[in-house]
Amino acid sequence: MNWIMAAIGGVLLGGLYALYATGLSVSFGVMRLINLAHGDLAVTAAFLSSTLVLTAGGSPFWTILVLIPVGFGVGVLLQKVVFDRLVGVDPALQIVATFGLSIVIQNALLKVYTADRRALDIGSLKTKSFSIGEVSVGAFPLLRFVVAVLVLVSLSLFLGRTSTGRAFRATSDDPEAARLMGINSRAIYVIASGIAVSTVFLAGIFSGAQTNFASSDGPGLLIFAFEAVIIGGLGSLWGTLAGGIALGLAQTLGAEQFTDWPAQLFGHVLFLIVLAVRPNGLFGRAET
Amino acid sequence: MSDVPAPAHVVRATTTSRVLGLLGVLLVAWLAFLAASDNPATQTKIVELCVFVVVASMWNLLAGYTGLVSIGQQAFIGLGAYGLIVFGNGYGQDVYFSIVPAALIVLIASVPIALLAFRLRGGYFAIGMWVIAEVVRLLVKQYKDDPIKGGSGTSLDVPTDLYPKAERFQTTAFIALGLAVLAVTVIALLLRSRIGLSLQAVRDNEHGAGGLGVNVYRERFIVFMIAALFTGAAGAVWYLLKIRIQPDTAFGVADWTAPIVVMVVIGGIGTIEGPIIGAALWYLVRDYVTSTDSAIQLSDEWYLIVTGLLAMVVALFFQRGLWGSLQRHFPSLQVFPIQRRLVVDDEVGDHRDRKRST
Amino acid sequence: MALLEIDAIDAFYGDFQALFGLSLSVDEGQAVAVIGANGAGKSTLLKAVAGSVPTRSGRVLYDGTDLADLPSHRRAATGISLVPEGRRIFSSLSVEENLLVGAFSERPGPWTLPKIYETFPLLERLAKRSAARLSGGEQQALAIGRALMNNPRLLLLDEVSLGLAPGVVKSLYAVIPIIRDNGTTVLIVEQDVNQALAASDMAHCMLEGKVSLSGRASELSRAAISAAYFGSEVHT
Repeated sequence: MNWIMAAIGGVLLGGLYALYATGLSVSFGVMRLINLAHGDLAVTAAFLSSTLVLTAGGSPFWTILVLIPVGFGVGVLLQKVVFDRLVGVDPALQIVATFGLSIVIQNALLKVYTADRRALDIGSLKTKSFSIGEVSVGAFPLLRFVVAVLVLVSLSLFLGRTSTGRAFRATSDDPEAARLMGINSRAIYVIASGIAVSTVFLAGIFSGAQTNFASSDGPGLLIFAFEAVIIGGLGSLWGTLAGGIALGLAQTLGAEQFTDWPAQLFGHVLFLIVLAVRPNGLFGRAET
Repeated sequence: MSDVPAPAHVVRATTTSRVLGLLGVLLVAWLAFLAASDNPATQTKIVELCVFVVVASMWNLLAGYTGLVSIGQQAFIGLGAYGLIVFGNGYGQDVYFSIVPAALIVLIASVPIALLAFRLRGGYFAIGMWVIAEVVRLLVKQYKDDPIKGGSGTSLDVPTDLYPKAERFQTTAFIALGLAVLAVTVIALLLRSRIGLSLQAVRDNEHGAGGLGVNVYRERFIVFMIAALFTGAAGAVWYLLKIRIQPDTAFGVADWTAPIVVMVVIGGIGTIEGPIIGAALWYLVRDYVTSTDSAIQLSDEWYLIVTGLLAMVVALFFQRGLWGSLQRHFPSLQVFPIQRRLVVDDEVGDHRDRKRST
Repeated sequence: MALLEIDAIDAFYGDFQALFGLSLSVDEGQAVAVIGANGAGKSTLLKAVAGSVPTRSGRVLYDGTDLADLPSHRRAATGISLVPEGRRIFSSLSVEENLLVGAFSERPGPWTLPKIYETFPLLERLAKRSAARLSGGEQQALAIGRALMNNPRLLLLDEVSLGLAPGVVKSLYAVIPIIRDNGTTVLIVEQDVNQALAASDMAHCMLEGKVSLSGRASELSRAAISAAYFGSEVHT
């Protein structure tokens, strides 16, 4: 029975990882950009949410409505000030600049919020669960999973069915040819960064409601997001969901079997196995 | 079309590079003189500076010349450091000698690491290396027996009757200085070699040089192993001085790779001199802003915020860094004459102009 | 009045200069061919008009207005469409999606999805197929169809015949009269001299980044073309 519970927990956790990974996947897919401050942005969102709750009261859920547009704005701003200069340049410069951004955000959070851990209080929802026979499923992890899947479904509808979504994919294939079709690639990049930051803001708040967080957590979250993307395979949103679930399962099942080992190690090991055996990921397109 | 090339000859060293080279030798001599003194604070600074010169130069060799941007170099630092613990504490070897097997262990470990990480490219290689470093950190933390002692860490066993403190500081300072000189020399020689030249050709034109039949994979692999060897040795030297070791700091990205990246980028990525200047500046500025009697005082957080911003600004606007920008304005500025410069004896004008005038 | 007036432009790739004070004009309704050897600067000329390559001096006037400050995506919206060298199909999109991307600027005009399918029946059959899985000729048809979806006033065709079998080239060139009948001015860049001259009213020969010969396509002599094509080497 513990195994079933661990498996369910792993799948639900995978939804959160997929939500973390979505922004990384979109940024890389559209502009071949890797933002090493991705995880730090999630932690920033959790802290902002806690500040809003502390000053205005209520539950963290209302802060989502405020912070998603704020996240979009932060993404737009970062794109215009930082990322625009990094599209199409040597990856070394992308890494250095976004690594610098990560150092800045982490230490700014440390300065403002100290090194103490915080938590977002969602009241009784945190402990509520459904029982099906002997198996119980946490209500909040389930909610989180459903929201993550909804975000991925709407994003994939946006990319697959709308004119702007087609423009996204065309820009991803060949930005210069896309511009010849009248597509303003820089506007596409701005939207992509807006989506990337607002989804990672959402993930950060959901994560902060489950476990407590501190200013130095960002890099760890970045690694989970990165592993979900690579395990699932680059260039596929559904692959990212599958990768997130595989990562979540590896962590919870591994920790179930080897109780005194850290859960994230099993995620890392799965990542390395996938890298060794299927470098294009479980659902990745073969390299051309 | 008459297209007779103007008389030209190939040179490496220039007068400027000879002068600068002499200054470099004098600098090393001065550091050796300081290392010989009986001042543990100075000796500590020499060790710290030299260790960072080694690891920053090695990171630059990877990132600036081969396109392998790693944020997992702390894996090699930590492995080298724990290698020292294993041979020193575990097998009771002489602690100075233990640096050698510790570095060799890192060299061996770099092979499977490269085999895995080389499956990723660009930014994904960078984070992939980070994951590998995390795996090593978690495994070390999990090993709770002697001599590693898990996450709580341990101390290098240096009984004062065998290793008097003053002598250990002095010896370590000399080892660190020697390692730094050796590392920079190896890099300079490597870049002049066939491996270095093909790597630079690949850096300047990935497809072009690939098309010329340059076996990029093998060269990158060799350079990656050399970088691992020296980074591991530097990690061992660091803990020879610091004694106390914990996995979270020995394998900490914020302790190692973050400052390395900042140093190299500010000094000038893709130049031999850049990482050395960057490391020196890092320590000079940090000493200044954290000492109590200087005009500008910054807390650690502010210092890191400022350096992070500086790394961003340099990466976005001054991609050549300090030394690279200087070199652009004064092309003869080279301490290490690794580039072959074609000097046209008869400066009629550029090639294309001559061609067009016929 | 000229629809396109190129006045003494210089263009560079980095430090490499590809165009040297090139001037050329195209009247509305004409089909104009630009021929020349590999490396003469023909593709650069089209890219400079479409906005993919910046010009450093001189002017590009389109319908009387200077294009200097207009980025390439805005030029597409004014009715300049380039069928790029190498076709540059969006490989992760289907054939139909490629065509729809071509209509991104939503310019009104005769060219719609049904009309493209009527003109290129093979594209209709392949509509749902991934564009990555097309043959070279099919990709070229798609590239032309995609450009037409923008309802261009000025269509720039870069090396349509490159790497294709003669029969396929012939069928693609057969579409040019239809394009002209629908009111589009065409500027054709080609290495295949015969094909280009047959489809055009005017022709210009380029050599080393400049126009070396201009005239009516039907009146240029073979000897003059080959002298202009190969440049001074013919004489020395």
